[in-house]
Amino acid sequence: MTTTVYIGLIQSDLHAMSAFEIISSHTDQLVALRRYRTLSFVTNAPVGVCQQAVAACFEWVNPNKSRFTMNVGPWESEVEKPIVIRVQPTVPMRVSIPLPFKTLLPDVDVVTESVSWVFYVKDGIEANQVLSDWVISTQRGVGLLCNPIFESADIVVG
Amino acid sequence: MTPYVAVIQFPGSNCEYETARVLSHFGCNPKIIRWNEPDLLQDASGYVLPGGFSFQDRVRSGVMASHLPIMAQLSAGIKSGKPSIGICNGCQILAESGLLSESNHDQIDLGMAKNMSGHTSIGFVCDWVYVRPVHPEKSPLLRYFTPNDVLPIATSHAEGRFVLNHVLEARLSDTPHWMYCDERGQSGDFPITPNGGAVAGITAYSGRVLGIMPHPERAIFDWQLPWHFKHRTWTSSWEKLIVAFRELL
Repeated sequence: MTTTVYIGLIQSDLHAMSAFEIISSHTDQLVALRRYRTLSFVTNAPVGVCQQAVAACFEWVNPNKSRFTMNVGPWESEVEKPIVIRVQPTVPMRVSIPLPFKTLLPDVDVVTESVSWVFYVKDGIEANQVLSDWVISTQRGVGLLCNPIFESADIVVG
Repeated sequence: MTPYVAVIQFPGSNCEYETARVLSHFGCNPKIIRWNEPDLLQDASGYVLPGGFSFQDRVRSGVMASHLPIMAQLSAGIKSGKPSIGICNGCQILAESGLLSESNHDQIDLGMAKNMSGHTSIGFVCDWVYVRPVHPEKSPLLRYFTPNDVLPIATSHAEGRFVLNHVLEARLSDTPHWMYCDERGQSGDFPITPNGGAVAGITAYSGRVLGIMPHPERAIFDWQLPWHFKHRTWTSSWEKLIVAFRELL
């Protein structure tokens, strides 16, 4: 069975804090914002082996952060219901795979990278609205989280 | 008041002093101005946005700085014809502000994407490369260069790949700009091109504004060049850029 593994990595909150400040200057509907770096790959290996491989390469994955999750985004454990929007380059961006990872998962040739923005919004705000107004907008003052010239965005949870 | 060039220091700039030193050497009277002193831009005769990591490159390089209030003053000055150079992070800030694409409609039409080799992210690249000017005669900032010039230059960035929308892409062949090349002036893939795109710098506003990703201020003096360049005789040098800039002030 082929399994797609997502590794959500808690990223420095500074990205989200700065973006939050700018978006909040345009709207009062945004309550909180988080940012995760997401790597995904497809493998036939059991989940346990995947975890082992990723753990062995944690330095490569994210050298100075404390944890990662697999298969489900880290936002799944949040109490409030989030809207999650993934931003990725229009040309899928691959990251090079280090040797320990490759040894444990020899069938993985490509690991693609994206960024997941997790929005906590006031009641009544829909994911589509978040996507069009705050993420994919081509308005220079607003289009902060995704540059539509070389990135695309889609709703993961919402 | 003596005319001066504003070298704008953003939170995280790290090349402002070496840039000011080069400007000073060529008689441009630089003055380092902080991002929160927009009023001081008004009397400046020209602007230089130095390299660095403004706001720690949060979200993407240059985008946070492009939302600062000082950008309104900078934009007004550039549109009034004052010459401007953005180097590395300064180039990214100009791009994110729409000042490299002359956006009149507030729409995003140019981006600085991550360095790539094929589809693979190659991260931060710090190296010596070569560039050549295209249509230098059309830009007052590049007018002392010739199309045959090949110049060594230090490159040092992670997000330096110019991505243009179809309108700018079509216009590029007529726009004065800089291309990466080898020492004979020929194009090539990585590492000749360090970011996956052939363009190293672009001019705007009739060639009076230049955004360039590599660092001219690190390749102006002989002592800055690595030893393996020194046995060569160069037909041009980056001082031509600064001299042309000074004459526009």
